[in-house]
Amino acid sequence: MTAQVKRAEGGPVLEVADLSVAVRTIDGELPIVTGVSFRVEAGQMLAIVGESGCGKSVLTRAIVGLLPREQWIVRGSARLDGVELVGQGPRAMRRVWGRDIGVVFQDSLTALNPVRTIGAQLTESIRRFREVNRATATEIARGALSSVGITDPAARLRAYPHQMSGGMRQRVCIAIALLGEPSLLIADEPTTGLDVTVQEQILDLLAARCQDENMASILVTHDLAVAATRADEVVVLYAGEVVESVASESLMSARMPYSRSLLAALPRLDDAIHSRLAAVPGQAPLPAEVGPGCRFVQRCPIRVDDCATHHPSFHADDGAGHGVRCWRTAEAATTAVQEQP
Amino acid sequence: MSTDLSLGTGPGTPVDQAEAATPLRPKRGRLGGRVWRVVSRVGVLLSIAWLLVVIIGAVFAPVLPIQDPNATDPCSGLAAQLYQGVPRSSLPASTACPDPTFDSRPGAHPSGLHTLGLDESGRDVLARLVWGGRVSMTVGFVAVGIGSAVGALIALFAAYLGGWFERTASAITDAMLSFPAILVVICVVAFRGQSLSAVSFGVAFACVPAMYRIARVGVLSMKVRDHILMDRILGIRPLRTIWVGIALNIAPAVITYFLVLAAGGIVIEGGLAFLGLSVPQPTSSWGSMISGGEDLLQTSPLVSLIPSAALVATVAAIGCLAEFLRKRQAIRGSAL
Amino acid sequence: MSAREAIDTVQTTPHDQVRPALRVERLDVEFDVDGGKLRAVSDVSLEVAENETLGIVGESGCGKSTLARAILQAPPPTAGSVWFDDQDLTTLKGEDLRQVRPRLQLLLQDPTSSLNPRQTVWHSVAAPLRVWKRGTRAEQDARVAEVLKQVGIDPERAKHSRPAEYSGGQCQRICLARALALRPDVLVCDEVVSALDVLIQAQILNLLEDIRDLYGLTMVFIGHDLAVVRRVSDRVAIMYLGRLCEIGPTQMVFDHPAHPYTRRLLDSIPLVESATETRTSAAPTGEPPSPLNPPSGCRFRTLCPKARDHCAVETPELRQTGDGQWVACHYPNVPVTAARP
Repeated sequence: MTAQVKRAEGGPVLEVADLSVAVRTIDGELPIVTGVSFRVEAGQMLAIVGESGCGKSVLTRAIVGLLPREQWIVRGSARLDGVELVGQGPRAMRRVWGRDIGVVFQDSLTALNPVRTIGAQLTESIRRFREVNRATATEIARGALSSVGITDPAARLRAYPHQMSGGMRQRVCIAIALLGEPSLLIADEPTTGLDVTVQEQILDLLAARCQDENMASILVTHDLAVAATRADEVVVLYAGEVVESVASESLMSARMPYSRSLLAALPRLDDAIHSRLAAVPGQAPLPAEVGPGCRFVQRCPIRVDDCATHHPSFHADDGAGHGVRCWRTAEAATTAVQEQP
Repeated sequence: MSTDLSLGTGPGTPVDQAEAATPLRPKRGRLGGRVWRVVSRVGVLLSIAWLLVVIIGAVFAPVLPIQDPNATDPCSGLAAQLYQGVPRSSLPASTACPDPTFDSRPGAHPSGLHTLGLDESGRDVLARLVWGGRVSMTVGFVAVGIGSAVGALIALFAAYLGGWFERTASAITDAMLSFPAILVVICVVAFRGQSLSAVSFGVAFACVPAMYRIARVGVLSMKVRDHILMDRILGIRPLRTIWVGIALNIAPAVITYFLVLAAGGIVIEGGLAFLGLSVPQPTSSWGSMISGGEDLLQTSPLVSLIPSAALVATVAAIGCLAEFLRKRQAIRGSAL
Repeated sequence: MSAREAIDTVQTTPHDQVRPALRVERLDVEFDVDGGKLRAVSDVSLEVAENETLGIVGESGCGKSTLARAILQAPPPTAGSVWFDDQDLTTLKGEDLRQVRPRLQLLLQDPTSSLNPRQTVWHSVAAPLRVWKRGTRAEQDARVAEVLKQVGIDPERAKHSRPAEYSGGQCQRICLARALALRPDVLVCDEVVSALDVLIQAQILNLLEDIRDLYGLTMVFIGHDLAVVRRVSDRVAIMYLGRLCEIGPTQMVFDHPAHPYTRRLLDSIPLVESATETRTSAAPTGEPPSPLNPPSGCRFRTLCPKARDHCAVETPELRQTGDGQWVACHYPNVPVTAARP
């Protein structure tokens, strides 16, 4: 329980500073994520939001050291309870996984071993962390399953992954991720592909468990509404860099035109039927197409000529820690995002 | 009805403009990558060149300016005696061969007279090589081609239609696959006698189930794609769907596997000929040429080595080509 | 008309005077699965008026996609009838059915899979025109260019590009162009924006609305996202485990959901605005029943907060609760005004 001792000293559980990830291609390095910084405190949930291809999954995989070194280059720093994670070898990272960081992935079917029962997988994980006998491990496993809201855990322990629904499997994955009482939980699109009612249950569960254990957590999602309702802080990623970082209750007053267009493009339950959505044209640039200026420039409704040539820096322009990467935040705050002519 | 509805984007379709930027295209490679690309490119070109030479030789053998593959050099008898040390003066006079030289003895080395030398019976190795290539190419490309086409066609319809047709076809091919291909060919030859058509038939027969298995997997993977369903919704007739929607998509995989089978077919024919079970003597075949030269390995190794090299080069060239096609497909496939 | 009048069905049209373009009567779809029959759709009746969009909402496994395909006879339903243009599609065979096909078109969730990977985009869009010999070759080419422009795809680029060279959103546009080429009367959209990022989703939704107006399409819009379906639909139907729970004018269903399941779906939607609100909802954590073995009586009863003993015995029929709103529940949230005629 060294982690808890450190946490008592204060300071963030995870501090990511200027983290960049590049992939090796036959034609050299291709940057996928550039200069990402954020911190997560104990008991806090940080959401990383972005469209597919924005680098959000690569970013989290880089933090937990899941990117094969032969192919990926990770630079910068990610400190967990003060311990640097970047540059750690696979053996060192294996000690971190499960014990200090719990990870939940989108695809619960592939995350679990299809030929072993849930019970076998749980007890194996338990005995990795604690020296207990089989019976005690089963007892702990049963408790772990009920703690993630699974009814009749004894029967579920004997089930194979394919015999469970997607929501139930994701609960098992969460139970496994929490077994080692990690100080940080990373959930990468944990509810994508699940039904909306099941999604609600899973998100409730994640939030409740993180609260109970005073755990820091990162929720990676493409769904702004999910991020807004569950997280304390939202980091918006676009084309591999952070464009806005804002407390979730201030999300509606986001400044970066990209965040604003995401908000405007969400269908709501209160707007008129058959009304048009505010859709910005085009799509995000691929890593190889990124230009020298702002990466959102081609789609931005309030761009000026300089935006295409000068790369805006990320700056916090108010006391509340609301950070934005945009040259025209003043205009952005007052201009409504609308469909472009 | 020509209203432009490109949506939130207005006329001039900035959607396309913004997206038109070409996605990741290799511009300049690292040195290792470039060298490797050049090497593989050269390998492919060499393979194609060699196969073209063999195929052209096989097709045009009767009209090429080469000697009769089955005729013994008229001087070979006298030249053999000469080579064994019999003095030229004690050789009998012959109208067919007024002036025998070492170059005409059986197993003679390459010379101006015989470009690749003579074989153990005093026949021209170059001519026999070209005519032997005819056998290999017939078995490798024609027989395997027909067998593969039949296998692929059965797979196309069986897997598309499913039901009892597919179950029957799969059961039969499974049974056929349980016998080694060479055994199948030997059986056919045993029944029908030694001839090129018997060997070809045997090889073609052995190819049907092998190609069926591969093509069937391809058809099944295409069949579950939505474009097959969409063809139905659009009122496109099943035959067109089978052809455009499925056959053309699995064609690269089928062609690649056809090449693998062709190499196999050539090796099987070579093996049978080596055992004397392929085309009957005196018809030349690379396998029989190799076995024929066995006795001369000490003195004239080239008699066996030349057809061996031709066989190895042909099989390697086909393999190289198949590998090239497979890689290209993989790149295409990853873009899907 | 006589055939239509002869069959007594639930009048679920919004206005009695509007002629239904599509009428589904007591549709059943069964599949053979290991260990029995899976009844994916059971006893579904509904109508879609001309130029109307009917939204169908439900979670995975509720049979909504099966219903869409059954309407289009691909594959045909096990029982029931689909009336279109005074013909019962379920009775048509072979060439007769093929002749109707161009008038009823379909868009699917995965647009890249819907296009032949080896054909150029131009060829894919032109194929139906060629097969149906619509006009001369030059007219066909002009039509292809026209529909491609209408959906925002550059026709010149389409001539030499394959689907793999386009993004998901663009492929969806191409599929739409192909469906429109034959000028259909009915367009069935099955989860067409589910796989797209929110900004692209907004573009496609706007495009669909414009195309619907331009072509006067009758649409069936299937989705799991209530906010998305709500925006494009005149009326919505809610499905649960193969049965209709509720059907009615969109505004009415969303404002006054009569079925407890509709209520639950609505409550599960995460809303950006509600970030500051403390979440109190304790979503029921029960495991949804399997479609292979649905509960007796009302299928929602196992998760329903209002369920009583009666619900397990009798399957609720659709009953009217308001003008055009029908609900299949013994204890609806809105008082019933009329029973099934």
